[in-house]
Amino acid sequence: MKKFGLLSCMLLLLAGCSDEKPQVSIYHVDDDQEEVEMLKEVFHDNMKISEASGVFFDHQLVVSLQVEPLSKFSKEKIANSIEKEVKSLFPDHEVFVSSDLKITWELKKIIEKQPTEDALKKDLDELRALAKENT
Amino acid sequence: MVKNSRTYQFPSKPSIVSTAVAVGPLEKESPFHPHFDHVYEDERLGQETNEKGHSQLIEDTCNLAIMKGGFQLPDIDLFLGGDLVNQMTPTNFAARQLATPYMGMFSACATSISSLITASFFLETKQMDRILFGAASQHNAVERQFRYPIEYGTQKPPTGQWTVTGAGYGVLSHNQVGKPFVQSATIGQVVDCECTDPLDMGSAMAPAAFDTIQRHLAQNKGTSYDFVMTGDLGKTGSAILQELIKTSGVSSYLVDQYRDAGAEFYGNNDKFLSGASGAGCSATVYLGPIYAELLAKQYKKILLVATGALLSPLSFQQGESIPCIAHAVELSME
Amino acid sequence: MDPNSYQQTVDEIAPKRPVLKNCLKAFVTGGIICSVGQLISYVYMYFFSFTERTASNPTVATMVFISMLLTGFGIYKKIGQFGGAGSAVPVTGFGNAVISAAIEHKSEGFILGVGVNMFKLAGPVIVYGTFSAFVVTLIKTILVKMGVISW
Repeated sequence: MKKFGLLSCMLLLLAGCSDEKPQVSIYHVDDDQEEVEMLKEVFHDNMKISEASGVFFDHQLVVSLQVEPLSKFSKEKIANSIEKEVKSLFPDHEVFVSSDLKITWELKKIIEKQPTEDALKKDLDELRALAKENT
Repeated sequence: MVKNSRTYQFPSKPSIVSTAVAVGPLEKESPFHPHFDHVYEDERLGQETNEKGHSQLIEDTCNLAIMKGGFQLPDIDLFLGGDLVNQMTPTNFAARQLATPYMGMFSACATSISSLITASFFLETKQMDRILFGAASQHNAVERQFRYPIEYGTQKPPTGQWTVTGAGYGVLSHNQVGKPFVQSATIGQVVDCECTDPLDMGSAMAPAAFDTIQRHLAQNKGTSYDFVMTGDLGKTGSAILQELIKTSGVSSYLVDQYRDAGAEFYGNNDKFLSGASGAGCSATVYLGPIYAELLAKQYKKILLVATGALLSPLSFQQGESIPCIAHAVELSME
Repeated sequence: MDPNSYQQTVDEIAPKRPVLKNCLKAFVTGGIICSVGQLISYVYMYFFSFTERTASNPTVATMVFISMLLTGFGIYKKIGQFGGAGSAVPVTGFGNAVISAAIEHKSEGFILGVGVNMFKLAGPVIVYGTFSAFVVTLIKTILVKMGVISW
């Protein structure tokens, strides 16, 4: 039992230390692979990001990201720099970047559903309203 | 009465003719519990507040002590007692119910012995016949008085002590054969060694106990005691007192014959840290198990030294040190 | 007896607080409490429409509620004796301070007892928490106005 505990502890530690590339999932309503790849590049270059998702939709771009545990303290900064980068890459898009866990979860749900344009618009509006809530 | 520099002899040999001890539910864990007359299942004795429960505990125990001696309330000429709550309301209120002549005594946790000494002096005047004396404390009522609310989750240091819920009262009367009697007494003086930690009362009180023991022994040279027992120094305080006795060389035999009621009260239970404290600690142990053993003639002569820390929550918050006192009584059995 | 030399004797004989052991216990206790808090905030985010930022308020309220139950049932003081700072520093410790005082003083009535004494122990946290927040904000405002840092 003790050995098992020790083993699982070590496995946990090792799992925490692995430097995998960030998990990226991007959904494009019009399925423009070029834009998707461009966005993917942004995340792959950044070692501090552990998870990222993005949704392209009618000249709008919603991005959510999670950072590595040790970079949690500079989460806002990373989100800001990513936002700048993405904005310069897609100057004709309205960009929204969030590092909130809830937004990540919701965005992933949206991507899984692979919704139509109308449903997507409603979902994303709800999402942004949620992110704006202050209290 | 022979007066010799603050140690007093009692030639009329006033006897403790009956005692009664009652404790709260937690005190069942005490190794002394077979000697307690009554163990209450409820800390408050069914009363709505801790203070009322405290008062009820005193009243019930006093009545029991009177009854066990075969007396009636009108036989009692004076009630001497005290506790640790503000203005001693529990004892005052119990005295209201008892309706005997009453004088409140306060020597903090040394009240059990200070009231016994006072009672002995009164009896020596031959103007009174029976005096009810003793002290009590109730854990919840006293803790809230001196420390934090009961349910507050604070970490007590290993020097911390646990206030006993218990009351010990006895009836002191003229000499009676076959009952332990008061041979002599030393009234303590306040000793302050600039201890300031209210969670380490044992260390604060040890010098006072040492001072009183030293003075008592100096006046009673050649007397040998079965043991000397302090009131509630706890494990910490009694270790320090033993060290003080050892280094001063007052009396080497004392090191082996030394006991402490507070350190023994809860056995070796770590939950109670350094041991028991409170006015009820010395009162219950002295008038319960120790009295019973004296009655059984297991011991012939013992020295009881009750210690008290004379602080108030206000005084230590204002940064004052903790002055302490210890009163000693020599009990004999013939 | 000389107080100074006596204090030395006390220092030699009186048992010390086991600081390292207490720190470890505090670490574990505090860690467990915070993990529970994290779990609750995940629940609020996952099942309700709270974001990471907005979930903190209901989480704190829930933790205080749990601490109230534990205090009332007499469990929190045992956690406190074991965990020390680990159980006092998280918001549950604050809740415990308020609730234990409220329980204690119920016997004096709801106005003079509970009302007056409820914040007896927690009051300093509120007073000095507010005051230090004020001071920090003042310093930051001055630094921002001087152009040293930005918001």
